[in-house]
Amino acid sequence: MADAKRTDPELLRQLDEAKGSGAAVSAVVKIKRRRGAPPDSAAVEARLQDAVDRTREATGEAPDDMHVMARVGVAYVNGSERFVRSLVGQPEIDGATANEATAEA
Amino acid sequence: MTSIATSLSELGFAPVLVMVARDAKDQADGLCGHFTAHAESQLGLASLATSAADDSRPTAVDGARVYPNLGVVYGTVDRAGLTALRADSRVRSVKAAPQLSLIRPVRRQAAASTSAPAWGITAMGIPELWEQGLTGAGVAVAHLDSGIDASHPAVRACIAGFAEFDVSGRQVPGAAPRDSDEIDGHGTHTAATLAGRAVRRRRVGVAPGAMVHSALVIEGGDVVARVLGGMDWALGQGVRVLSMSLGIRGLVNDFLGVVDVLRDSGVLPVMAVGNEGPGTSRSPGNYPKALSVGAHDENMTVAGFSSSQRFARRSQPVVPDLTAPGVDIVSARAGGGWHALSGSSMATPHVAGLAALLLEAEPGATVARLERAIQASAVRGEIDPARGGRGAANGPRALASLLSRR
Repeated sequence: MADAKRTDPELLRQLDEAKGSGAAVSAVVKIKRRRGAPPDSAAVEARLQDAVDRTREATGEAPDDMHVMARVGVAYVNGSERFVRSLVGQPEIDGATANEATAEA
Repeated sequence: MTSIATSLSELGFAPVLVMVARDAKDQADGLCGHFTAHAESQLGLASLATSAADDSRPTAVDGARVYPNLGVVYGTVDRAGLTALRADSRVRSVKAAPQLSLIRPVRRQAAASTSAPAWGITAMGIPELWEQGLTGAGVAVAHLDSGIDASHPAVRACIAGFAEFDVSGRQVPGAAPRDSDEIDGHGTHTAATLAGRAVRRRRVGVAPGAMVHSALVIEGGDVVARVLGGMDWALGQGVRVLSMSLGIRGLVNDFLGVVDVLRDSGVLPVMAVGNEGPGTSRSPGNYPKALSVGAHDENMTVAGFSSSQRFARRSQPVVPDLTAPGVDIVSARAGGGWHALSGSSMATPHVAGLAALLLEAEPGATVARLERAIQASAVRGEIDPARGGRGAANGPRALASLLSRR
């Protein structure tokens, strides 16, 4: 499950809010990489895919949308609260933030 | 960050960002009836002109601005409008206006005619570097901002590439260069300060030979993935410097990892510190690994609006790293002509342009060496370290420092 220490509080809030409502959540996740060198694009994509596959297996769901920005080592994900929360907790993910960096009423 | 409820309670209206349902993107205009014009709102929406001819450009309706490529409507609502939006099946989400924003200029005014270089260029000693033949030629610089008016003669020839990004970070196919900031033409102004070409002897660009890869990553409602999409694209263009005059108020970890990525990829991240005065700063400009820039005026005094902050950390506890000219900076105005803007946004491209000049002199310089040279160049003068870091950046001193550490 999402690690509160590595997850932006706004994303956690959005996940909690979406729980039960069925609303999709958009997040940006950081994929773990070796520091000191530019991200290896192929490795970034492979690690993300491992995380997504494991999440799919655990939740029975797939993301609604996903876009990898491999050179900066991040990916945009849009999916159900259950999917996103599970993805953020995968070992390949080094942190996550809400994509729409806003506060609800 | 002000919530919708707080804005409604205090002002009677709230600026909101509406994400349109994916299958209703072409119906975004139909949501505009839920919005209300308020001249006091952040964008002065009541003054917007009506729709432009090009479908890809934002259209404006009283109280709202539609971004058809993004599937976003940005504007102000009252309570009734908010209720209607939330009940509308074409709406995916309604949020308060986002934190990520342009570091908006604090002042704007018309520019007098002149043949002298802009004062900031002279104050930094840049003409001495020009006299040595340095213009930034051969150096690619990323410009993440509101876009760029490619028709302006100051920037027409400096654009090596342009890209626009959607909320998922994807590049919008076929997007033509444009400046989305209809108020200040923020991106056009900063790009011209960075690398603007001379126009009838008017010189506003620090590195008039550098090539700019400009990414439109911020307009109206803005999201993290757009900025990251722009960074990702910029890394694919072989840039050596990234100039970014936008940020989130406070110390926010959203971008922490990507500033490291930029440096690991050989790119110097030059970022504005903010315009909210002492005791404030914006992320990622306030990260220790960003070269953060505040603003000083012609008297080499830190501008009152320029942010500064001290953090409880060992590395780079005070931001900004240094200052650069940021008050009454004349540069290109989107749509034509020139105007003067003030802000740490204006100071940032001065330093990014200086980095481009230095890289022409020493193409093999690492990010760390380049940054050290710029930091070492700073002239303290009367600048309070708590407000202006190391002091005012200086071109000749930076070059001397860089060359002395070969």
